[in-house]
Amino acid sequence: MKKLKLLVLAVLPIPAFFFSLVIGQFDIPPLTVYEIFFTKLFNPLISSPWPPAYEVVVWNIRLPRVLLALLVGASLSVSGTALQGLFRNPLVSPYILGLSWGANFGVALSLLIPLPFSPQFMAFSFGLLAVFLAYSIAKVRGETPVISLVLAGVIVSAFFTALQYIAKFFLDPQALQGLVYWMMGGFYLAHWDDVMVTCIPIIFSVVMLSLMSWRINVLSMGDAEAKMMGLNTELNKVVIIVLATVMAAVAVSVVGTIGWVGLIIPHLVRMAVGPDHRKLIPLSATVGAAFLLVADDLARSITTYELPVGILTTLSGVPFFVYLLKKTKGRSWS
Amino acid sequence: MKRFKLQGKSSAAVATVSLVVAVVVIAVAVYMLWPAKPAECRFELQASLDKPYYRVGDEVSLSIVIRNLNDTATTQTVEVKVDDEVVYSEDVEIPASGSKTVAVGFKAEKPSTITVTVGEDSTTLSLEVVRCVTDFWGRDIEIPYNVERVVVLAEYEIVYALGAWDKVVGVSKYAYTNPVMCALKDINISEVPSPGSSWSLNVEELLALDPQVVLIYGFSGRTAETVEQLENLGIKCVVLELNSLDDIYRLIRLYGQIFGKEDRAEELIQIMNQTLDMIRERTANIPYDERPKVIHTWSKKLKVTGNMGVINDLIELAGGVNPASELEGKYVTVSIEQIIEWDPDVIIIWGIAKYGVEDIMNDTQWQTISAVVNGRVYKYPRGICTWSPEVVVLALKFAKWIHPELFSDVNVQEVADQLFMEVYGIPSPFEWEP
Repeated sequence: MKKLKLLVLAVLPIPAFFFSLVIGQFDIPPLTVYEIFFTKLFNPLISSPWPPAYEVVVWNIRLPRVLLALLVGASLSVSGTALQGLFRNPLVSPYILGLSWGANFGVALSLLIPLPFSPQFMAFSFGLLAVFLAYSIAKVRGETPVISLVLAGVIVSAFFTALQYIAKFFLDPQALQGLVYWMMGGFYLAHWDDVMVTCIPIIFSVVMLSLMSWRINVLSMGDAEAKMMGLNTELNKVVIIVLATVMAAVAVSVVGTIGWVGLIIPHLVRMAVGPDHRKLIPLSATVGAAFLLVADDLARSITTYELPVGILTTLSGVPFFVYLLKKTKGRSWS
Repeated sequence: MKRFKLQGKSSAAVATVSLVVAVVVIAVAVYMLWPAKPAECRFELQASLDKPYYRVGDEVSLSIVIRNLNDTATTQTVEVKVDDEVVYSEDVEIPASGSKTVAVGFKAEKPSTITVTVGEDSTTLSLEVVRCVTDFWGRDIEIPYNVERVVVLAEYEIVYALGAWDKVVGVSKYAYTNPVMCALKDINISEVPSPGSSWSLNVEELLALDPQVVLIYGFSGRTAETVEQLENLGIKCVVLELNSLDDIYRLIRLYGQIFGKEDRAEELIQIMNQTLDMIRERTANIPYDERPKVIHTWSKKLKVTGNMGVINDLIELAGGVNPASELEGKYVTVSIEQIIEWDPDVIIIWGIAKYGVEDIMNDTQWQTISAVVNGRVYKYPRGICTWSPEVVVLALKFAKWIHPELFSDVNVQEVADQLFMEVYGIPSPFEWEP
């Protein structure tokens, strides 16, 4: 029974994937969609018997979008799981160390002054800069206590929020709208290029963190215990933080700040399979991927307009957290 | 003793006599010096207006009260002049020792002096007149008849086209980069101070410019607050919110009213109509189902023009159909699948967009769309304002893009140069024909 549960969670993205391929504004019969998909997959050079628009929709529009949603979902939730385990704090998400606000400021800056870098690059580098700042502020005598790290994240977030408001003030309304849309996050601009750029760092980080998952188990027992077991705590912490941050920053830089995925999914998976990170990390990758994919399906099919998916994930995340808070009666998770 | 008595008697007499003399002298003096009623003044004249000031076109009601101070009835000519124009002249009979009220009505046109003459008496009043304009929020706003100091945060180029630039004391910061403003020969736009823009306004700097009237966009969510704040300080705000081609006509007429340049405003509209009529003549009869599908994309490729705004009107005018007009709004973000489903024949890109024709032509996701297949993706010049008279040039360019066969004889550059010459006195600062 328990094995079955693990199996179901592990293969969740596969039905989600095939379900999502047939969803969209453009009307194509579902069977034709699969026909196009498998034909193109196994025989890419075949001359298509179906209208060219069909092929573009399935292969160049839906497929990259679906893959990107899977990658970003996996990235945000694995990053969240690793950081929550590391900091032994249920409130930690990839954004808690200032990543999202740093990235937002990076985008605002790139809209404000013409720079030779793309907004994506600016988001990535300012996201990393913010986390680096938070980490250096929190570092006391070669150690980074959890509470000071969380506080440092708040400080850095506040700092970049202020900077971003300055940038916003000088932006003209049209550019400002672009920034707002970016901040809410969405997959509507997904291209193969985005999939190519994000897949290597995200897959690499997911694999690395899965391999390091027993170390997270040890670290989650507390610094003193981990040291007693002979683990170089600072080195392991840094490596895990860097991996978790880079993968989240890559995701954020391509699709904007999609909220709450990195917070809900780790909790959900932990409730389902328990606190062992050797199961937690890979399963939060699959569940997170499937969750974000389905959220994006909703975002693009509810209306003729494109809803930013970040709104949906946040809206579904809030009641979940209220439930969690009531159920645990405010006690911290242990 | 006797001497004393005598002395006492005589001093009392002297005092009495001198008192009598003094009273007489004072009486005479008062009589002599009392202002004598001049024999020729036989009327008392009072004239008053029913309101402290009037709006242009208001009915002015002037009441004149003439009191006859004579014992006999008399007939007098009452004449009322507004500036030098006689608006009332009639003989009026005034009863003996009584009074007569004469009511005179006329239309207020401009601030003037009213002169009331009765017989040889006359009195003057000043007639205060303000203009009343209705802004795009439907508010009636009273502004001075002769505005001298205006801050223009919206459509400054129309103020120039109306010939009222000498009244402008401040502009929006976006004026500094506006190609039309920069191309004007006789003004240096960078020397005009700016308190910011309709979206971010520095109220203190605005106050320092001491404007009587501020022309401001109403698109920002905070405009209502700003307007209230400014109006509490006695600055009149005219709020502008343009959502269609007709609104441009309304805007030009409104500006004409504000600056007292109504005739020039009609002239500008005449100039616009020349081109628009030419387009309408050629496109109006194309049946609906034969019209090409045209979409217009904004700052992002997937942000299209919905059923609102000038651009949607331009597409229709130019003989196209905007498939996105089934969606509500001026800016609508849609999915690429939606655009493929619409399959537009022509794609027009916003002039200020950061992407170009190539970005759409080379995008793998757009390659099956008719407009891309047939190379009918266009981008219009950067900085062309869609809320000014030159919008008709844009309309013509749209029409030529959508129906090249109908407009092959038209050189858009020539039309643009002529229009800019007539409106701004300069050739078009935009390149229209590649």
